[in-house]
Order: sequence, then structure tokens, then C-alpha cells
Amino acid sequence: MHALSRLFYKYRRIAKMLRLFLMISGPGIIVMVADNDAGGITTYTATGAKYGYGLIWFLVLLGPVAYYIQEMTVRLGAVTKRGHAEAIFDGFGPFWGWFSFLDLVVTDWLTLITEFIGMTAALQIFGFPPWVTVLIVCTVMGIMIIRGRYWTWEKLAIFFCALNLIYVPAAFLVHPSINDILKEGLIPHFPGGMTGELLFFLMANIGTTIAPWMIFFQQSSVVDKGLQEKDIPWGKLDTAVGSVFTILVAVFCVVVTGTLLRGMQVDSAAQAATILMDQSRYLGTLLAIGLFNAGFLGAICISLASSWAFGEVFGWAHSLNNKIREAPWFYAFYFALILTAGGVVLIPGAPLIQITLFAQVIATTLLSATLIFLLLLLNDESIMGKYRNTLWQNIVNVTIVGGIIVLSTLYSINVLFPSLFS
Amino acid sequence: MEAATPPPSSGNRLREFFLHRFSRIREINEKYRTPRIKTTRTVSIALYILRFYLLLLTGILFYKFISTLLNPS
Repeated sequence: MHALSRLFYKYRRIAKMLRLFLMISGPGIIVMVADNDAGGITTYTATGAKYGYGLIWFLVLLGPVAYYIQEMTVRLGAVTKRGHAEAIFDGFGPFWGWFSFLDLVVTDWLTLITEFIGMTAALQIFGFPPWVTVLIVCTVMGIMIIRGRYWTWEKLAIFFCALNLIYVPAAFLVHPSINDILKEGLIPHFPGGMTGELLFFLMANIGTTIAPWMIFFQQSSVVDKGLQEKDIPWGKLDTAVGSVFTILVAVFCVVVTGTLLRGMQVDSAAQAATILMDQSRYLGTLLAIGLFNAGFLGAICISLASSWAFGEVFGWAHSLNNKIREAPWFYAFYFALILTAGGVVLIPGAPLIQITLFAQVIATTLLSATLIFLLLLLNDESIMGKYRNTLWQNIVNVTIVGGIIVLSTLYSINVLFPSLFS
Repeated sequence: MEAATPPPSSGNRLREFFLHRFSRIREINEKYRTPRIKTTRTVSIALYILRFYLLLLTGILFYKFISTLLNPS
């Protein structure tokens, strides 16, 4: 009897904890899965096609890296109750505040264009003309935020996050050799030696895993959701779960193209889906749906990251819990972003490749600045109190940030001068 | 008898709109004039390095932009 009551107590405790986690979780899972946006999926697809399973170990390593960076935004948001843009203004003054804000808006807008490029390319496989895709996407994105509550938006976003896992069944459809994956994928090595091209792929994978908008998004999201200091452990768990999901999707995506397209030159995920459509209609369809969903997920998060930052900086109402008449500027900015980004894709002969490259380079500029600000803010006792970085967290984070800054700078230079590393 | 105030022209309205926006920016600059982060030696060094790094990256971007303009191929 005593054992039974103990078991029942344990069950109740676990059920209560799970309920609490489900209530608090959201920002971490969404930001991490949305990180696998159209650009991310393209990078993983190309990585698998080029190196097979050879770089899976590297993707697995990126999971903890993304976690360590993003969990800092949970603490910062929960303690200061302000978004990242506002935190930079407050911490470092107007010069760095404006610099970060403008850089974020430009980067987000360019990245948003790349999401539209991915979505239109994905639906073109099914015969949808680009203008139809842009119209559908803008309408759905509009409905998602006009419905008027953060909670509603978050649950819809989590549904799209779940759809991102489409690459898991896709990987099982291609019947990969588990033995090969374990042997080639999980033992750290550089397939073909450290060449300029491999360096480019490594840096591209880092660039898709850690992005500036993610830091702004998660912190604003934590604030909009109303997380308190006592919720920090749950917020961290939410981020950890998200980092597992993001790496899972990345690895399965690499497995799909590493099995079927190994040795092929793949420039975009849409191209991979088209090639696979000839081999297996189901697989090609899954990949195209996955690409569309990745672009959509990226678009809904990136547009919100900028709109939140805009409201924070100008001091205007900027919560998804506000109605349009209560936060007109927040919604106006949001719609201006998505409509102009969608519109650019429809311009005949628009330099879409140059825009994609430019987005990467400008993102690098903001990434280094954002990461340094994040570290400095997390180390200020007057702001963070007992939640400031510990010595261990600083050792890990400074190592990660230093590494990312060096690699992303090399990546940026490589994008601008491709012949330099070859 | 007072003369009726003429309705503002569209040019005036536009001017008012932009003046209001700039005054908001001035307010923001004033509000955050004193940075909250203590300027310790580490912070100063980090911000100094960041400025140098950003200048370098902007310089490279500018060079690439000019060279693309001069040699579009």
C-alpha cells in the first residue's frame, strides 16, 4: 500500500511537471526549429549531397553550441523583462543601439526574401506560380498574428515546428545503412581533408545554426510570454529540447541527400526535391513540403523578431496580445516587412542570388556584435544579479563566441571573394 | 472677428509627420544617453575591438561593392 501511494505521488509529480513544461515551453523550441529555415535546409541538403554522412558529427556538435548561446537570452529576457534591442540601447547607449537595430532590420528583411525564395521554389514544384505562393503566405501570416494572442500564435508555430520533422520519415524512406551512418558520420574527421570548399561548408552550417535574429527573437518571445525568473530552468529545458530537434532535423536531412544524391552538385533544396521527385514521388513531395514549411517557419519568426525590436526601441505597444488598434505601428511594420519581402521575389529579374549572399554577409556583421553584447550583458551584475554568467558558462561561451566570430568572418570573406580559399 | 485657420496642406502634414518622427528619435537618444553597463576595462576593450572589426568588415564590403560596379562580370 505504501509503495502504491509513493508511486501515485511520483506519477502526480511527474504529470504536474510535464504540464508546467508544456505551458512554459515554446520560445526555445520554436526558435531552434525555425533555425532550420529555407537557407538552413538548403545548406544541409548540399552538405549531404557533397560529403554524404561525413559531417554528421559536426552537426551534432552544433547542438550544444546553439543551446549555450540561446539559453543566455532566456535568462536575460526573464530577468530584465525587456527585448534584446531595448537591452542593447539601455546597456550600451544610442550608438550601438541604433547600429544593432538597423542591422537587424536590414538582415531580417534580406533573410525574409530568402525565405520567400525557398517557399516559391518549393511550391513551383507542384505547379504554383510564385505570386500565388506569396499571396497565400502573406495571408496566412497575417491571419496568424491578427488572431490576437501570443498563445494562439505560439501553438500554431509549434504545429509548423512539428511539420519540420518531415525529414525523419523521409530518411527512413531512403533505407540508409545504419552501419555507414555510425561509421562515417559519428567519428570526427574531415572528408577529403581540410580544403577551402570544406571550410565553406563548415562555416555555412554554423551560419545556419546561430543567427542574429534568433537572439532577438527568443528574448522578445520570453518577454511577450511573460516568463519570470523562477521559470528560467524550464526555459532552459525548452531551449535544450529545441536544440535536440533542430539537430535531429539537420541530421535526417543530411541522411536523405547523403544516401541518394551523394557526389552530386546540389545548389538548392528545391533542386534536390526536383531530382528526388524523379526517383520517388513520395520522397520528392516530402522534401518540397519540408522546404516550404522551413521557409514559412523562418518567415513567421524573422518578421516577428524585427517587429518586436521596432516596438521595443520606439516604446510603442509591441505584443501579440495587443489588438491592431492598440499596437498599430507594430502590426504596420510587420505587414510592411512581409509584403515588401514577398514583393521583391516577384520582381522579374530581381538579383535573388546576390540578395542571398548579401544577407549572409550582413548577418555576420550583426552576429559578432550581438554575441559580444550578449556576453557583456550577461556578465553585468547590476543587470543580471545572481543570474549572471558563472565562470564555467563564461569559459564555454567565450570559447564558442570567439570561434564563431573567427569562422563567420572567414565565411563572410569567402562569400565575397570565393577564389581566396580555393 | 478672427480669420479661420487654413487647413494644413499635404506638404505641411508630411513635414509635421517627419518632425514628429525625428523628435521621437531625439527622445530615444536622450533616454539612453548614459549606458547602463559599467565601462570596465574589459567592456572598453571589447567595444574598441568591435568598432575596429566592424570598420574592417564594412571596408571589405565597400571594396567588393566598388569592384563589382567597375567590373560587373
